[in-house]
Amino acid sequence: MEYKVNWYQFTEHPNSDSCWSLSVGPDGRIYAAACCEGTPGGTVKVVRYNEETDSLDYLFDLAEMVDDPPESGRATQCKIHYSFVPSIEDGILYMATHLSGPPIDQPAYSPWRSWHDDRRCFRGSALLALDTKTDDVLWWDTLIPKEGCRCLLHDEERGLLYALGYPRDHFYIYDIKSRQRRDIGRIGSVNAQVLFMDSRHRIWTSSDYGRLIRYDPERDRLETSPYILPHNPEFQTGWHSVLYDAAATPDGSCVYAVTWIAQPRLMRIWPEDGEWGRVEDLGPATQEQDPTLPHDTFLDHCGGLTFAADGKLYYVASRWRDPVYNPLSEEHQDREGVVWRMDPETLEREEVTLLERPDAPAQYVSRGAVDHNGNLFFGHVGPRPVGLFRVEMPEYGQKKDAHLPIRIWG
Amino acid sequence: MSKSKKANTWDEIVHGTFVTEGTMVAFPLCFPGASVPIVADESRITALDITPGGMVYGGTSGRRTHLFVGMFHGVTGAVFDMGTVEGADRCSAICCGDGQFVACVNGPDGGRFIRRGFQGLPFDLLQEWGFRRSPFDDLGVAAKGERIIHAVTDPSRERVIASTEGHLVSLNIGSGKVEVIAEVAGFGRLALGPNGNILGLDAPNTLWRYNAVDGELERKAIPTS
Repeated sequence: MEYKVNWYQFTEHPNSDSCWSLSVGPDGRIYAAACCEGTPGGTVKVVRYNEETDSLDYLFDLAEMVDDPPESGRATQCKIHYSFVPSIEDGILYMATHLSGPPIDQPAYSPWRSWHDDRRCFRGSALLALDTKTDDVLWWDTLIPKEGCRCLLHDEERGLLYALGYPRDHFYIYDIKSRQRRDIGRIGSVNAQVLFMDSRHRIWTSSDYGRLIRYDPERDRLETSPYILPHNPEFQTGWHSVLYDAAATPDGSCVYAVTWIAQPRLMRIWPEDGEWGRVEDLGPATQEQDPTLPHDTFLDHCGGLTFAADGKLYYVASRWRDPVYNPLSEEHQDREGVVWRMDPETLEREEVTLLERPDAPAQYVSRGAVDHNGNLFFGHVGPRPVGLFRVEMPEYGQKKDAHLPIRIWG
Repeated sequence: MSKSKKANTWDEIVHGTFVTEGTMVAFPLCFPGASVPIVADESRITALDITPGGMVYGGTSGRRTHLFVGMFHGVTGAVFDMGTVEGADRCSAICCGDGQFVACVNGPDGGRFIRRGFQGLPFDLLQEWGFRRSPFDDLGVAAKGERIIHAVTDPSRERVIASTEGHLVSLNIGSGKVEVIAEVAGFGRLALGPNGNILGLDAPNTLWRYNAVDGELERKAIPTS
């Protein structure tokens, strides 16, 4: 069984250094954010995979669409960070921007330093509605003034967008019809990287200390779980074990998730099992390591969780050469992105392929998605220009409308 | 005693025990939540110094010597264990120069100077960080077969002045060159005085004074009683 890997570089956005968002749109096609956070004045371009030409279409520069030019002197509209969300009924793809890209004449940007500086401060996360049937931008608004949007979720039935802001780590609700925003409260400082929703329309994320945080619309409260999410007990405490990525099973009964910390932990969350749900620890996603060395999440990473048409969970975990803990043989690169397949029935994991870009390692994958044909796509973060991977599924994994039920969070 | 005076006295006894000026840092020898502390029998801190930028460098004694850096002035804090020094079980001093530090470590064969560049402050210690262990430069012995008793960085931050069991020596941090200043039996700690002077215990009941600017050593320069 072969999973053929294809690499698509953002050559028309040469300064792009990260693809934080990659999602399937309501039309079943794959959308990606060619982000540019390392270059002063850099902006994000929205890209779509074109299956007819087997190449990328560059739809627009988001800064132009929201009238926030790169030479403004402010922090720029540099990226979309886990914030593509679809609207099936009307074919809209919502997207919200995040901050970090420095002003055009500065080498770096600190949102804390420039919070009160009108000339420098990020204008705010721009929320944009793209009609995927016509490619028209229908409207835009400022989702969160001064702050970036770390992650976004769409409750289509109720017409609400949920967001986490950065740097204040507040939890926001945005009513699409009235275009009104509510700030529900502060979660912490680290900033979780994903939101997910259960069938009772409760929104879940996590705190700095590795506890689940839940917004219950019935109570209109942010609540904290009485337990801590799975982590490595040798060198971790739960601190920074915030959720990084989450993928719901096709039947919606549970969510597979992974944390954003060294040796990211895989888990399965049954949010409707008991008062505070039930969490199964599925163990570390990456290799054993020296516990005296704080590993960084660029090297030690897991992301791209997505269910494919074969009913299996796919994700990408990093692997790296370590003389003590993982002395890889010569045919391996120093750092690799490994595509894993997990069987939800047996929880067995199998390495199915490696992501290889010709000019650099590809150990860091942000998000994954399945298009309407059933092929896998993964967003990559690495040397510029970055890009995305398409992994062709074997025939048994391909089917019409393979992207449904669609993921409603970024 | 009035209520407010009692409160002030209470505060002075409890908190003033530790801090009369500056800031006290109470912190585990690790990056809490991200790494394990230096193990118990290798973690007795016997040397500390601070850079002008506020980074704290230290060395331990025990079964092995670890060199570490404490980062407390950025976004949150961490202690990073930079590694152990082969063949050393005691760190008698750590001296911060300009961009580099020198650790004075002792082992069965005597005292050696160990050098490394400063550890960079990661992007932040709240969300994203990166640490790498760089190798140490072993600059060799201070005085053959002698332990290093203590050392300080001179005011120019270009040299380390060290006292061994039998000698006062100077180390050029940049070149790694060691020069013997004089035969002086070392005991006790050295101190930086005014005008570029470095002071050390001399016998009997006196201090020697070494001027790091003109290189002059004055024995029994200051009485201690």
